[in-house]
Amino acid sequence: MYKRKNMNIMKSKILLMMLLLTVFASCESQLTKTPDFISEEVVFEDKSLTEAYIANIYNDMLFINLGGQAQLDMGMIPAAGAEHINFANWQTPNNTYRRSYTAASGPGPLDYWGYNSIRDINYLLENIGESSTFDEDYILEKTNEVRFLRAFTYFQMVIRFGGVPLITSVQNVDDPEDVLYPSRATEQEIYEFIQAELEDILVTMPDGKTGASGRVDKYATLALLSRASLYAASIGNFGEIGSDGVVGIEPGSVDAFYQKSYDTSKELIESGLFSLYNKHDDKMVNFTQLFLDEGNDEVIFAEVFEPIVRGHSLDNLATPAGFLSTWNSNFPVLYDIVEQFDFVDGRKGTDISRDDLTADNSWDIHDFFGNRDPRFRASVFYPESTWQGGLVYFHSSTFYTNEAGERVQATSGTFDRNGEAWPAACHPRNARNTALLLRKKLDESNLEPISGRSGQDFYVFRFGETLLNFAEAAFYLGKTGEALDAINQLRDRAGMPLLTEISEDAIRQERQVELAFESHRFWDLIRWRIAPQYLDGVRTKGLVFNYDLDTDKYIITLKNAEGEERTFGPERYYLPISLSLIADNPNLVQNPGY
Amino acid sequence: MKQKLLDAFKTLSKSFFYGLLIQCFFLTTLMASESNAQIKSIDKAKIRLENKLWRTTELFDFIESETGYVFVYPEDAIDGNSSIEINEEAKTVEDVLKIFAQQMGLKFKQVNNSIYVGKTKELEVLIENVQADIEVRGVVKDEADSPIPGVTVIEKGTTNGTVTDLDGTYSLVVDEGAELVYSFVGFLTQTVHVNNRSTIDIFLQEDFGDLDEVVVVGYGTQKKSNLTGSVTDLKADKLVQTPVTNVKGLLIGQIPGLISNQNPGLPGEDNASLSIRGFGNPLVIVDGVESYLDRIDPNDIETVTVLKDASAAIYGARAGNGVILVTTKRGKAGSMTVNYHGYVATQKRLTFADQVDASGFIRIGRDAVFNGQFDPLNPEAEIGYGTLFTEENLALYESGQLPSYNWVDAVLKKTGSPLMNHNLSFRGGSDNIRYYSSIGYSRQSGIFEGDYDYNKLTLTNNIDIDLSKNLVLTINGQYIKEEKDYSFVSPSTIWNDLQTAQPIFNPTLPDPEKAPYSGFNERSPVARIQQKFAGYSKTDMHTLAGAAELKYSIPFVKGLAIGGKVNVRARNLQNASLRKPYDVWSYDPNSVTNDFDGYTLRASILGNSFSRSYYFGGSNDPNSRVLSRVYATYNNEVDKHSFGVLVFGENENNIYRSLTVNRTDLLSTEVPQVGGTNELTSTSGTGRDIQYTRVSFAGRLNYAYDQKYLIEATLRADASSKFGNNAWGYFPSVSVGWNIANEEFLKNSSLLDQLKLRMSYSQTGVDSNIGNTSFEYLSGFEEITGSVYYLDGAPLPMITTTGLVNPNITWEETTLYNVGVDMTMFSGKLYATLDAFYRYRDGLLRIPLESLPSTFGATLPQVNLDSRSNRGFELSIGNQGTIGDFKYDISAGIAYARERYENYQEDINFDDPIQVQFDQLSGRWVNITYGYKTDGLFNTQAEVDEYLEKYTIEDINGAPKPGDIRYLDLTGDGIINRADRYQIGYGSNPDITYSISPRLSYKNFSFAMLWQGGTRFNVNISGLFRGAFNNEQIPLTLHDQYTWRQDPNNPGVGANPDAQLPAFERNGTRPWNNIQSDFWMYNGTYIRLKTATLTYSIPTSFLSKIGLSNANVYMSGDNLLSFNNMGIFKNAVDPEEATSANAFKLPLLRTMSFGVQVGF
Repeated sequence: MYKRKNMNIMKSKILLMMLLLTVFASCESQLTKTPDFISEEVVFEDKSLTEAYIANIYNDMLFINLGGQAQLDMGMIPAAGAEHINFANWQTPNNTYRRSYTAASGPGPLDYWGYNSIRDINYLLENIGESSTFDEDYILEKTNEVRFLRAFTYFQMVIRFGGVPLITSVQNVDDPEDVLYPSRATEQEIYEFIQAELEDILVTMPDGKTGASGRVDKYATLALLSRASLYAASIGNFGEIGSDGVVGIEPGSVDAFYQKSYDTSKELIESGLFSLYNKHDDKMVNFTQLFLDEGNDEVIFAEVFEPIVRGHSLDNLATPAGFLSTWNSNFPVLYDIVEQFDFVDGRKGTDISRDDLTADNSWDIHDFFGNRDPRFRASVFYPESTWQGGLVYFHSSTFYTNEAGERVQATSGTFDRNGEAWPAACHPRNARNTALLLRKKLDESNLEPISGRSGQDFYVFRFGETLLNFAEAAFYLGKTGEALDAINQLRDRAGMPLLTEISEDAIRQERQVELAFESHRFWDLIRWRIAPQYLDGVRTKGLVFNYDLDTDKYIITLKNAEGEERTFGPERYYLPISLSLIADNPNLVQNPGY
Repeated sequence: MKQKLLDAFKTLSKSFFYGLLIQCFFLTTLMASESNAQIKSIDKAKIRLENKLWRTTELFDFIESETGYVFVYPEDAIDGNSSIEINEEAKTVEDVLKIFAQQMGLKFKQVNNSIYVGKTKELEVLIENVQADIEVRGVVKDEADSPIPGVTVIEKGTTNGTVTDLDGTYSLVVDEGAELVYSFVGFLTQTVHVNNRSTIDIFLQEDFGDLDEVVVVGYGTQKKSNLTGSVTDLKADKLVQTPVTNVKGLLIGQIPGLISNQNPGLPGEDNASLSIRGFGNPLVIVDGVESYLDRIDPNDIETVTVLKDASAAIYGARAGNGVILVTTKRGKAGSMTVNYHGYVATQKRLTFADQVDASGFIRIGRDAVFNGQFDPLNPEAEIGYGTLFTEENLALYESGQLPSYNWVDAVLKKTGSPLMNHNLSFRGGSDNIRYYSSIGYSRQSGIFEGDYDYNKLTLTNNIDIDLSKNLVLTINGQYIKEEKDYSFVSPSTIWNDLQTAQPIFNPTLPDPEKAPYSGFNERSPVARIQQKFAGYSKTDMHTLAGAAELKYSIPFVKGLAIGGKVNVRARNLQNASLRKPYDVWSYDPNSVTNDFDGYTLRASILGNSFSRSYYFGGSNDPNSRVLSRVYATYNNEVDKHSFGVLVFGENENNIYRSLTVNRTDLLSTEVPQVGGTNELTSTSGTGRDIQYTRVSFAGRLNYAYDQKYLIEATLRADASSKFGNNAWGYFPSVSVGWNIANEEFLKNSSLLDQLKLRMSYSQTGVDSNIGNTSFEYLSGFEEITGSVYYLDGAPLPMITTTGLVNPNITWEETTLYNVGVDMTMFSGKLYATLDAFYRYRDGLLRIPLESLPSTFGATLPQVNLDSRSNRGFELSIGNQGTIGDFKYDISAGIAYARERYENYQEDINFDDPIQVQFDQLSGRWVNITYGYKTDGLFNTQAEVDEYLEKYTIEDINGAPKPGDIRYLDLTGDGIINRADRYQIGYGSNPDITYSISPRLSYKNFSFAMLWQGGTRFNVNISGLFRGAFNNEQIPLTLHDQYTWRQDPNNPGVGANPDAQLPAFERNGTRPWNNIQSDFWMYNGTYIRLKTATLTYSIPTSFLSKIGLSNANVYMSGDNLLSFNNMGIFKNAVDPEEATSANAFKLPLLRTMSFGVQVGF
C-alpha cells in the first residue's frame, strides 16, 4: 500500500514536470507569430506583384461610380445632372440633388478625395527605380502608366473642388508641418500640373494601342489632355476667379487651354487609329451596338468588365419590369432630357409644348418617340419599345369602348389588340416614376441579368467625345468650319440631318445628346456655368401614359418626377470642403459661397 | 452557494468525520463539557499502556482499538514525528490525554464516543459528565428533507450539548423545561422548547444572509467573509429554473450592475449582450479557461461569479471590463444521485409591427403619391397615381370585392413556437473518485413559419480522483454538438421581403410547390423561409473541451500545494449552404380556364451557388485553444494571522484556421458539389491560418488578521503576441477589508450580524481592442480575395497595403477604484451590499484623425489615444423571513453607471463655436444626444409659409411642407441651423438599471418573480417606423392611425390635426423630417416581469413510496409583462432591444414553459 502511494507520487511528479515544461519551454519564442502578408521589399522585384500593385491602383480609380448598394452609384452623375434619376429616394444617387449643400453638410455622395490613390502612385514612383531586377524600359512604362492615373485622380478632384493640395511624394509621419498640412493649390495649378504631366509622359509613350483593353496608352493620355484642357478653358471662359485663385482659371490662359484641347483632339483624330462606330445600317442598332461591340475603333480607353469574373449589375438594375430580371426599372429618365432629343425630320424636341401634354390630346407613340433621334431610341425605353422579343409597357390604364358602347378606363385585365394580348396597364414599377427608362448600354442578349452578370465595358474616353471636344475648342478658337464638320460627323453617324451652321447651343445640345447618361452632362453644365438654368428652381418632369385602344394612341400628361424643386446656386460650381477636412488641416480654405 | 457548502460539509462528514471536527472548531457555542449518558466519560475509561515512546497517532490508534472512542483531528494538528514517553501502565484515558495535551500543545473534547483533537497553547479543561432529567432524541434535516450531520444541539443557558451523527440523529439528556438550540453553519439557528417531549425532529432553514460562504474567485475560492473585492455570485438553484436556452438570458436582472440588451435571434443564436457596469464585453472564464457563456447547458452550472473590481485584476490584460466566472458542477462522494430536469415551452412573438390591410395600403399609398406630387404653385396639375393606387383599386378593396391578405402571419408564427430541453445528470463517488456526468439535449424551432431548426447535445464529465492522500487529479471533459438547419436566407433578407409584401397578393397559393409573389420584384418572404425554394444553410458545430489538473499538497510544508493544468478546447464549425433559384407566381382563381391554370409567373430568383466552409466560430473564436498552467498555493494560519499566497504561470495558444469554397452555376442543385469543370463555373475560396499566443505570470497575497482586517494584493504580468514589441504589461492591484462587526464593540450587537467595509484599487487592461489575429505592428501587402481587374484582356490579381504600422500598439489601461459595504442585520433577515466605483481608462485605441490630414493618403493605424472614465454605484438589499409556513425572500437591486470622455483627441475646428458646443467630446458624457427641438407638425400651407417667411433654413435637407416637423429656433437668430440643437436625450443604454425579485413559498408551493428594468436612456425611432414607403415598405397600422393626412379635395390642410407622425411620400420619409430631433426620441424607461415561476414540490411522503428523493413541477413564464413610455410605439418597440428602433427585426419572445425536476 505504501509503495503504491509512492509510485503514484512518482508518476504525478513526472506529470507535473511535463506540465512545467509545456508552459515554460514555450514562452517568449511563442509570442512571435507570422502574419500572412507579402513583404514590402519584394513588390518591386517581381513583375507579377508589381502588376498586381498597379491593378489595385486601377481598381481604385473613379473611372465610373460603381459603389453603393448593388452598384447603384452608377446612376450618380446622371441623377445630379437631371438626366435620369434612380428608382426611389432612398437610393444614394437621388441624394445628390435632394440634399442641402453647406459647409456643415459637406460634399455628400458626389465627394471624391483620391489621396489614397495618390499615395499608392507616389509610392510606386519613389520605389520602383530602386528595383534590382527590372529593366529601364519596364520601369519607364510603369512610371508613365501610374503618372497618367495620378493625373486622372487630380482631374476628378479638380472638377469637384477646384484647387486641391498638390502632393507628388509619399508623406511620412515625421515630415515637417508644411508638408503634412498643405494648402490648396490653385485650380489653375492643378490643371497645369495635369497638362504638364500628360505632355511629359507622352514623349516616351509608345504608339501601341491598348486603351480599349483597359491599359493606359498614349491615346488615353491624349484624350484626358483633350478633356482636361477643354474643362480648364471653359471654366476660364465662363467662370470667375474666387478665393485667391483656389477656384477659377485665369482668363488670359483660356485660349491656350482651348488650343491644347484642340491640338490633342486633332492628334487623336489624325492618328487614324480611331473612328466613329458605323458597322450597322440601322442607326438605332448601330448606336446600340457601339456600347456592346467592345474594343471597336471608337473606344479610346475603357474600364473592362467580364460577366461573373468581374461583372457589374447594369442589366440587373435597368432592365424594364416585365422581363426576366431580379431588380429592374431602376433608372427612370426625366422628360427634361428627352426634350433635348430632336426629331429626324428636323423638328426640335421642344417643339412639342408642355402645355399640349393634357388629357385633351392624344399622340401616336411612334411619332412622339419613334421619330426622334435614333440615339434617343437607343438610349431610352418608351411605350412599346421592343425588347427581348416583347414590348415594354409604360401605360397606367387603357381606355376602350365596351360592348355597351360606353367608353371606359381599365387598369386590370388583358385586351386583344390586333390579335396580340394587350395588358390594361403596365407593371406598376415601370409607371412608378417618369414612365421612361434608361436603355443606353443595356445588353439585350443578357437573358439572365442578375447582379454581376453584366460585362459591358465602361468607355472612359471614346472618339465621339473627342470630336465634341474638338468642335467645342475649335468653335471658341474661331475655327467654326472645323467645329461644324466635327458635329456633322456625329450627326451623320447618328442618322440626324446635318447642320448647315454651327453655334454654341448646337455644340452643347449635340454633346448632351451624344453623351447622354454617360456621366458628362452634370460636369458640362457646371463648366459652362449654365447649371442653374437647368437645375435650379426646377421641378423635373415625368410622363403619365394612358392608352386608347380605340384609336391606338396615347394620352400623355406630365407629372412631377421629384417631390421638390431642385436647387443649384452658383456656389455649387464647386462642392463644399467638409468641415472635418478643414478641422484636420486648417490650411484648407473653404470654397466661396459656403 | 449555500447548498453547495452544505453538501460539502455532508460529504466531508460522511467520508472522514471531519465535518464534525470543523463544527467543533468553528462554533464558539460549544464551550465545554458535553456528554452523553450512554458512553463512558474519558475520566472513567481506563487503559493499559505499554511503557515506551508513543507517537501521537499511534496512541490514538491504540485507544480507539481498546475503548471504542474515535479520535477526530485535522492532519495538521498532529506532529507525526514527536513522541512522548509514558511510564504508568494503567490510567484513565483522560490522564493519558492530559499528558499529551500538555506536552504537545493539544486540546481534546469528548462528544459521545468521539474525541476531537485540536491545537492549543493552554491546558485544556477536559470533559465532565452532567446528568440530566430526560433524554430527547430526534433527527435534524434540511428543507430538502436530507439529514444534516454535525448540527450542534445545546441546552440553552447550559454547557450541556451534543452534535448530530451521520444520519442527522442526536440524543441528549436535558432538564424537563429546557430549551434546545440547534445550530449549524449556513443555517438559521433554531430554538425549541422541550415541553416534556422525548422526540424532537427539526428542519433547519438555510441562512441566506450568512457571510461565511465560500465564493469562487479568480484562480481559487475565498471565504465570503474574507473577500475584499466587489464580487457577486449566483447559485445554481437560481439559474436552472428559468427556461432559456442560454446562460446570458439567465443573468439578466439577477446581478446589480450587469447591463444587458436582449437580442432575439434565430434558434440557437439568440443572445443577450452583457456588460458589467456599462464597461463593455467582460471576460468570461469557464472552469478556469476563457470561453463562451452561450453554449453551456445551464443545468451544469454550479455557480456564476461576477468580479467587478480589483478582484478581477488577477486576470490582468483582459480584465478591464470585469470578469464572469462560471464553475460547473463536480462530483461528491456518496451514493449516486440522479437528477433529471426537463421542460417544454412554447414561444409567442411580442412587439411586432402589423401591416395595414389592402384597402389601407391603397388609401395610404394614394395619400403618399399626393403628398409627393402635389404642387401648390400648380394645384390643378394631374397627380399620377400609377397603376396601383388607383381609385378603382381603392373601391375594390374598400368594398371587400377583392380580398386582403396578411403576410406577417404567413411568415411569423403568432404563437406555438416549440422549445424543449432535457438534462440528466449523475453525481456521486467513492472516497477516492468523485464524478459528475450529465447529458443535455435541447431543441428549438424558431419563430418563422419555415425551416429554422436548432438542436444541441451536451455531454459533460467532471471527475476528481484522489491519486494519493496528497494528490488530486481533476478531469473535465465536455462535448457540445450543435446543428442549425436553416433556410438559406438570413432574417434581414426575410424582413426585406416582408416589408414590401403587398396585402393585395395571397401568401398561400393552392399549389404549395409554387412560391407566392408578394408584389415587389422577385421578393417572396414565404419562399425565403422554406428550404425547398430558397435552399439551405446547414451548420454543424462541434466543441470538444478537456482539462486535466493535478494538484499536489506537499506533505512536509503545511498549506503548500503545487499543481498544473492543461486545457484543450477545439471547435469545428462546418457549413454547407445551397442557394437555389425559384420562380414566384401570382394566382387568380377567377381567371382559370381549360387552357390556363390561373398562375402567372411574376419574377424569378436566378442563379445558384453552393459553398462549404470549415472555420472557427467567430472573429475571436479560435479553432483550437490550448492553455497550460502551473501554480503553487500556500495557505496557513498562525494564531490570528491567516495567509494565502498564489503564484502561477500560464501560456495560451490559439489557432485560427478557416477555409471556404464557393461555387456558382451548379449543374444540379439536387446533388450540390463544390468541384466542377464547366467553364461557366466559378469556384473561389478563402482561408487563413493564424495564431495568437498569450503568456502570463501572476501572484496574489492574502492576509487576514483575526478575521477583522483583510488585505489582498495581486500582480500580473501578461504578454500578448498581438502587441509586438510591447508584449509585456504589468497589472497590480490592492484591496483591503474591515469586518467591523467582528470588533469587540459590535460583537454583542443584537442588531448587526455582519458589517464589512471594502476598498480596492486596481490596474487592469483591455486587449480585445484589436482582434486576436491582427498584426497592427507589422506592415506589408496582402492579396485582395474575390476580385480581379481586367487589363490587356486578362484578369489580374490585386495586392493592397495592410496600412501604416503602429509599432507602439498596446492594450488599454484601466484604473479602477471601488468602495463597498456589506451588511446583514436582524439574524440575517435584512441584508444589503453597496458598492461605488470610479474607473479611468487610458490608451483607448482610435485612428488619430487630426494629427495627419486626409491628404496623407493612408489610413493611419489605431493609436492608444483617448481616455474615458466611468463612475457609478450598485445597491442590493433584501429581506427574508418566515411567518408560520409562509416564507419570503425579497431582494432588490439598483445600479447606476455613466461614462465620460476625459481626453479625446478632437476632430473639430476649434474656431467654429458650434462645433465646439456640439462636437467637442472631451469632458462630455458619452451618452448624450443632440438634435433639433421640435414643436409638432405644420398643419397648413399657411403655417409653412409663415415659418419660411420668418426663418432662414440652413443645414437641413429639403424644405418643409404641410405635415412636416416644425423645428424651433432656439438661438433666436432667425436662422434654423445646427446651432439650434440641444440635448434631446441620452444614449440607447440605460444609465440606471433596477430589479426586484420576490421569492415566496407556502408549504409545498413556491413562487418567484423577477422584475427588471432600466431608465435614463432613449429610444431613437428610425427607419420604417418613421414613415411608410421608405424602401417601398408597406405602411404599418400605426402609420394609418397616427400619420398626418391631407384631403386631396382640400390640399394643404391637415385632416387629422392631432397627427403624431409626419406626412410621407411615395418615396418614404421626406429628408426634412429625417434629421436628428426630439420628435423621434422616446424615453426608454421600462420595467418588465422578466420571469415568474410557480413550483410545486411533491411531498416526500409520497415520493419515498416510488423511490424518489425529490421532485418538483413548475410553470414558468418569460417576458410576461412590460410597461414602457413609448407612446404610439408602445406595442411595436421594446426599449430593451432598442439600440435601433426600426420595424421588422426578430421580435422578443414570450416563453411559457412547463418543467419537471426529479431526483433519486
